[in-house]
Amino acid sequence: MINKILYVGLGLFYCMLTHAQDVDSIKSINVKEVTIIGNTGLDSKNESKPMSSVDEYMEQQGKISLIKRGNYACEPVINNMTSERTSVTIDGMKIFCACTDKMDPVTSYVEIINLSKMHISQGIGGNPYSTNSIGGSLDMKLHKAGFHESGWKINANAGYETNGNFRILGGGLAYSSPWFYNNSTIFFRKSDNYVAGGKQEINYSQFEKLNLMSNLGFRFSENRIIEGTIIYDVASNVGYPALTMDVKSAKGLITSLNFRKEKLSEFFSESETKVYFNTIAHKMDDTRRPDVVMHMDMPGKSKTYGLYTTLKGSQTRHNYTLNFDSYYNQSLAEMTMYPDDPSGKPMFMYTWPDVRTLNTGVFLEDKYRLSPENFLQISTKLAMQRDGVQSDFGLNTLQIYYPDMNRYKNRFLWNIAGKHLFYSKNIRCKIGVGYGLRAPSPSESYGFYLYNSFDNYDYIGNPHLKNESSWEGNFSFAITKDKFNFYIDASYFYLYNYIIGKPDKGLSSMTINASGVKVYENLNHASILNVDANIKQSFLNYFTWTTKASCSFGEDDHHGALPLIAPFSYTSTLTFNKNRINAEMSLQGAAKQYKYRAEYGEDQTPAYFISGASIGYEFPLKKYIPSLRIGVENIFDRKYSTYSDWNNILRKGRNFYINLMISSF
Amino acid sequence: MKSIKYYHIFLIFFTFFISCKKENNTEKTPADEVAGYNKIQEFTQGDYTFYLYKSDTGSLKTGYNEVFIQLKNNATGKYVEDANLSWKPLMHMTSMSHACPYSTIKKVENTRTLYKGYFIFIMASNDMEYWEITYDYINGSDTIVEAASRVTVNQTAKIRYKSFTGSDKSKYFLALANPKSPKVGTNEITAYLYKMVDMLTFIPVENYTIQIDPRMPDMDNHTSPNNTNLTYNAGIYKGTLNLTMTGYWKINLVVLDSSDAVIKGETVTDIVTASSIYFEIEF
Repeated sequence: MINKILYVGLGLFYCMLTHAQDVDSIKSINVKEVTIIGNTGLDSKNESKPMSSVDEYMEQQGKISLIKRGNYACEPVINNMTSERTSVTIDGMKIFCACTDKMDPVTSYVEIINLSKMHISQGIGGNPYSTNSIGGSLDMKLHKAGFHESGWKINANAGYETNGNFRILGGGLAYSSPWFYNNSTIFFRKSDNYVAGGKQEINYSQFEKLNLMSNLGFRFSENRIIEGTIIYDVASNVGYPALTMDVKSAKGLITSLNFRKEKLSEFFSESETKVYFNTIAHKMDDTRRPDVVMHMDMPGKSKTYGLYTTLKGSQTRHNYTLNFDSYYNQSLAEMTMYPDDPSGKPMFMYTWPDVRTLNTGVFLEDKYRLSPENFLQISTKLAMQRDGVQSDFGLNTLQIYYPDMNRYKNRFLWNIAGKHLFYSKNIRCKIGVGYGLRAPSPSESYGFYLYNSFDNYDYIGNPHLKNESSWEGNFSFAITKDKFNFYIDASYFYLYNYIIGKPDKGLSSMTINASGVKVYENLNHASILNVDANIKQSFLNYFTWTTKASCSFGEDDHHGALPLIAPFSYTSTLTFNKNRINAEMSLQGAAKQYKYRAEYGEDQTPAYFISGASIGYEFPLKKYIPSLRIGVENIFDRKYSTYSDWNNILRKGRNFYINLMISSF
Repeated sequence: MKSIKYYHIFLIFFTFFISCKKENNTEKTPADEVAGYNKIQEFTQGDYTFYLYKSDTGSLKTGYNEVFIQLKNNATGKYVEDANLSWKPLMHMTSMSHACPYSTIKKVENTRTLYKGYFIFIMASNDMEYWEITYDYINGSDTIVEAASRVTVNQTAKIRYKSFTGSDKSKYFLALANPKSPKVGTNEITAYLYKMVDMLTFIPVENYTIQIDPRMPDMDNHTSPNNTNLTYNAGIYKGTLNLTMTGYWKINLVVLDSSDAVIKGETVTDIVTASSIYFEIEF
């Protein structure tokens, strides 16, 4: 069966490659999914808040929503699917969080200043670097100064926000020459507790973050480039008001060495080979909380070693990418609980019992031009994954629950996706189908007594889980005219063996006052539908009015609601752009959440709307271009929380901010 | 098919050959046979010296104690390899004396000089009250040596032994033997159950069932799944005990007789947080 699929996949790809007739080649297809942040890392003109966090930035893009557990490190959700079903990479590098409670999503280990692009792919396919993703993927492209004649550049950024006494300071230095470049940045953020609408201080919402990055590039012959990246990111004293614990420190070290070759051969125009290593150490902290029933230490670490090679090329009507990638991850988390009686021995367990994952895969993609306006894009990925429990202690523990469990498990994972794209002067249309598999995450397979404060259950992994699979259909249609833009985008996922935790009454919880224990299992099926639309109208020369709306549905095999599915939500923004002035007014809100499931810890989130305004000015100074942006968020100080706010934690109330940027060109 | 069979036969012979050879080659000295054990006591009576060992600690404790013996003939300088040994424990209290449950002494398999047996001490010794063990080494009808020695028995920090009066009015003695060094995961749990006939006579109870329910009182009475009750087999009660983490565990017990009538103990529920009889494990 597996062989057959393999042959069909490879055969398809081969057909695509050999069936070449026309002489033209496609350089690139500019898909809406690519979002550009700007080539200095921060685009001062186009963002209402240039020094926003990565989280705020993602949220503004509309395709990503966030699960908030505090004021920091929100978990990105693509197509209403969280990190188990989506993939987040940094410049193609796999990196996995070190916290069993998702307090440190991968996006929390970078800064906005590190990035040049966020490549959001929806659903299956489209991203060579994603693994185990069926909902979508996010590849954060790092900002690299590049090989230019531009010499030295400097930029400095400062920001202040009244709510939470939030201070932001950062700067960078870059040097570019045709044979060498370096750009290094430092960025620091610190916030006290923020205040929700109605002057309610949210305790334990403080945080502090320092980020250092350096990119080096060396061109040692015309076509050969070697590049290196190092990012060190440390967040400390991070409060998680929605959880029972905070974080003492979350440290990430991300390194890579990259070899690029251009004009490789007739068949491939460029190749890139990267080796990388990243390590994350995460320490939780309950010592600041007053009413701790039992003190505990919960450190976690995650180490990933990986490499990939990407080959890109084009032939006549084809535009193809071939990628080989392999990574090895170690995820280990432990919990030590200290009984009230100091003479009692501490209670120790592994919550991630030294979970090891080795994944090796091949990705193939071809964009084939059927006619000047019609394109066919086909991609497939085949991967082998071996995952399991390295720790004997951990294995012994899990074998209490699963006596016939083996230490390691091999999984064959694959996906295939095809799209038909139509581009004309004013109309863009895309229709696609895909099918893919994902392996269960370390928590879903091997997690041990992971407490979820959302539904108040302890979770135990299930090593016998089947791969989850998904059929996907997507459709998008866009009209682009001079002053008018409209698009509608819809995607539907029908998932088999949908993985979710279900209560097991036979098991005894461990967390004091927990409702019980849930064990991950495969539901027969589930389905998710996402629709979003956007209208943009320019008028009176300087004004643009943009309205976005989205709605989603998620259902399990008994027509019950899936957890954390967004209700109808909308954003409406009016911008004014003249010369050096850029101003914006916005309204954002959501309807009442009609579909929710108490079983998963949800309650009905009421409707809300908030409004904001900002104004920016770029000073007319030639060499250094300072720009200033001031704004206000949640003008009317509304007290609100969204469907994805953990335990209904309230969001920020009124907030005035000021951002100042100076950059030399 | 045939070749596979021959191959198997060959393998069996080969294994046999190897194992025989190994045994002959690595002849253990008397010191090797007690390597890693802790000596409790050594005393001499006439021409013979008794050496007493335990595999875990060097002291006797209340509850189950597995004791190893070596006997040396000082006249020949050799350890006795075919001793017919017996023993009797006796507690000398200020007002009375009594014995405790104990086993016979057997030769340890695959050793030349080592013997073993166990005591279930039902109380600790103190300044005024002491345990005395009398040893007999006989050959046929001749007593070669008879020796007595006092031993110190300490109270265990955690409860590994329980005596109780059952619903049938009999007095029972229940002692935890294993796990000696518990681990997180699945452990074999073994225990001995005795019944008192009179102050000097204790007999093993057969074919009862000992239900276990391990709990962590510090963790909201958390328990583990898939434990199996202790059932009787050849003198000992055996079951499986699952421990999900390190720390303090209370192994709640219910003793049932051969017709499943409750002799002692209560089932743990939300209201009844512990049974009246339990063992304690902390690691």
